[in-house]
Amino acid sequence: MRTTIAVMALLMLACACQPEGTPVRVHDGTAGPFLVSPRWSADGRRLECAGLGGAGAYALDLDAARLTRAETAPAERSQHGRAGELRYEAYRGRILAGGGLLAEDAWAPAASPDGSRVAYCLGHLSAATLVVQRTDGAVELRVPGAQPAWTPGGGLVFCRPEAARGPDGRIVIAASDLFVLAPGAREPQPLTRTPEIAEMQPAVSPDGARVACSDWRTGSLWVYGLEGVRP
Amino acid sequence: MKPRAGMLGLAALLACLPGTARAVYECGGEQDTCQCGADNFCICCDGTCGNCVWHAWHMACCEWGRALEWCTDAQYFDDQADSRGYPTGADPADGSIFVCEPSAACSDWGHVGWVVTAYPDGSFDSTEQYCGGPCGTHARNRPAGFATGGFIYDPDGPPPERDDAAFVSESVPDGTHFSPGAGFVKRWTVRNTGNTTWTPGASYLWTFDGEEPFGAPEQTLLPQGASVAPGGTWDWEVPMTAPLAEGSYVGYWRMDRYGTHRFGDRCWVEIEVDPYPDADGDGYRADVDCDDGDPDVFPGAPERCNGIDDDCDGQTDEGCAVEPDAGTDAGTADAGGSDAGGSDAGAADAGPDAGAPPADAADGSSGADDGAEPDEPGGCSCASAPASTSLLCLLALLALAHARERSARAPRPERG
Repeated sequence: MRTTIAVMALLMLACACQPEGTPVRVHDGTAGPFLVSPRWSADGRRLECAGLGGAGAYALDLDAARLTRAETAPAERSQHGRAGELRYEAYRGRILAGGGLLAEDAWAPAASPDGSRVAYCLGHLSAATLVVQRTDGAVELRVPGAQPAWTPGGGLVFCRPEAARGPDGRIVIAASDLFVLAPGAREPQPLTRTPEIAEMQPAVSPDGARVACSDWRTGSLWVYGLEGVRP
Repeated sequence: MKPRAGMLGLAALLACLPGTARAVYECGGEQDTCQCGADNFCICCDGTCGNCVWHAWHMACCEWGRALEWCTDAQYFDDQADSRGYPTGADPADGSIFVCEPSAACSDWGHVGWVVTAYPDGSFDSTEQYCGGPCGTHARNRPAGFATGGFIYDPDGPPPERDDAAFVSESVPDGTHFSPGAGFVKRWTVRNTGNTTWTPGASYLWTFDGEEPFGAPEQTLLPQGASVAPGGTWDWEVPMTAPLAEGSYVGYWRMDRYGTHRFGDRCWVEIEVDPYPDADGDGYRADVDCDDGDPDVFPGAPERCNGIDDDCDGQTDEGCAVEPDAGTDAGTADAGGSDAGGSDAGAADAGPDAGAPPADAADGSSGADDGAEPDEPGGCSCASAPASTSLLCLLALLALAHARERSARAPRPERG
C-alpha cells in the first residue's frame, strides 16, 4: 500500500514538473517524409498533411503511430470558425463583412467560432503581421505573427516566424514559436520556447485540447497540449 | 523621363486587362528604370495604379535583366513562356513569375506576380499589382496550389539549382554477418550528379533516411574545406553498431541539404545479426546465460550452495541451510515455540545473527557445507548470504515464525 502511494506520488510529481505545452513529436521528418500543413480529422485521431512543397498527401494515425499515403490532399485549414457574413476574396485579399470592407491584402483569414471576429495576416510570411478584427471593423490586435487558428472556445493560436538569410542568400524561416491568445485577452502568451523547432502552421484539434504544427526545419510534426493554457 | 520604345498602341492591345492604355514609366509606385534592353510596354491600369503584368514584366527586367517579349493577358503568360522556350514548372522558386489561371481566386483574366520567397509548404511570398486597385505594389503570401498556371523561371540566369547524387560503391556488402552489438563502419561512395557543389557551408550532408539507424549519428557533415564539384565523388563513412537481437536489418541514408531537402539515390546498409553464441554448450546463449563459460550455470539450473549464482536469477545460494550456530538455533527456537513471545524472541535472535556475516562469508569462502541440509525444517542459511540478502532472510524468518504460530493455534484435524 505504501509502495503504491509512493509510486502515485512520484507520478504526480512528474506530471507537475512537466511544463505545459511540452511537445510530442508524432512524426520524425528526419526519418521519414518531410511533412507540412497538418489538419486534424474530425475525430481528432488522425492528422492529414502534405509533403515537402505541398506535394503529396499523407495521413498519420496518432493512435497507431502509422503514416500512410492518402488519396487526396488535406482539406482546407480547420479553423473552428463560421464564416457567417464574412466573405474572403483571395485575389485582392479582401475580407468583407456585411457588405463592408474589413481588410485588403489579407491572407490566411480565419473566422472566430462565434463569427464576431476574423484573424488574418498581412505582408510577407517572413515578416507577417497578425490582425484580429471585429466584424464591425474595430481592430483588437495587431502583432507580429501568422497562420492563425481558433480554438473552439474562442482562443487563438498562431506562429511567429523569424526569417534569416541562408548561406546561399535565400530567405528561410530559421525559427518560429507558437503563441496563444486567450478569449478576451490582449496580450498573446508564448506556448513554446523551442529554438530547435520552427513551429509553423498550427492546427487546433476538434476538441480544442491539442495543437499540431509542422517543424519547417525538419519536416517533423509536433503536438502540444493546450490544457492549462486556456486559450 | 526616359524615352519609351515600342508602340504603345500595340501594348494596349496586348495588355492583360482593360484600362487606359497609356505609356507610363511608373506603375503601382515603381519606376521603370531597370536596364534590360527594352522598356516596359505593358499598360498600367488607371494611369499609375497598377497592373499585374506590368509588375511581372518589370521584375523580370530588374531581376533577370531580361525584357520579356510579350505582355499578354495574365492567363496567357505561361503559354507565351512555353512557346519561347522559357523554363517553366510547377514548383515555386525564388525569383520566378507565378501564373494563376482565370478563377474566383485570380480574376477573370488570370493573375501573375513575382515570387520573392518559396517555402517548404509550397506557399510563397510575392509582390503583385492589381488592375483596378487597390493601387500600388502589394506584399502577399500565396498558398500552395495557388499558381494554377505554374511558374516561369529565369532563362538567362544560372539554371535552377539541381541537387542530385548517384551511388557508386560501398563497403560492408549486403548480407554481411555481425555479432550482436558489434561495431563497424559503413562507407558509401556517391557521385555528385547535380549542378551544385557540395560544401559544408552550403549545408550539404549525409543523413539517415529511415528504417534501422544502427546507433549511427543522424547526420554526417562534410569536413571544413571539403568541396565536391559536379561529377566528383565523396566517401561517406558512418560508424554503426549492430543491433543486439538476431535478425536481418536494413537502414537507409541519403544526401541532404539544410537538413530538410533530401535528394539523390537512397543508399542502404543491410546486415545479418547472428544469434548470440553458446560457448559452454549448455543450451543457453550468452545473452541470457550469466556465465557462458560454465555449462552448469544457466537460467533454471539447480541452485547449489557454492557461492555462485547457478540459476542466473541474480541471487546466490538461495535455499541453502544455515550454519548450526546461527540460523538453526533461531529456527529451532521458533519451531519449538508455542507462544507468541517465544516466536518473537526467536525471530529477534535471528536478526543480529543473520546480519553479521561469519568469518567464512566475509573472507569469500564458498560456505558450501552450509547447504548440506536444505530440507531441514526452518533452515535458512543466512550466515553465508551476502549482506544484501540478509534482510530478505530476516523477513522470511519473520514470516515463517508467524505462520508457525498460526499453525500452532489452529485446531488439529481429528484422525480416523
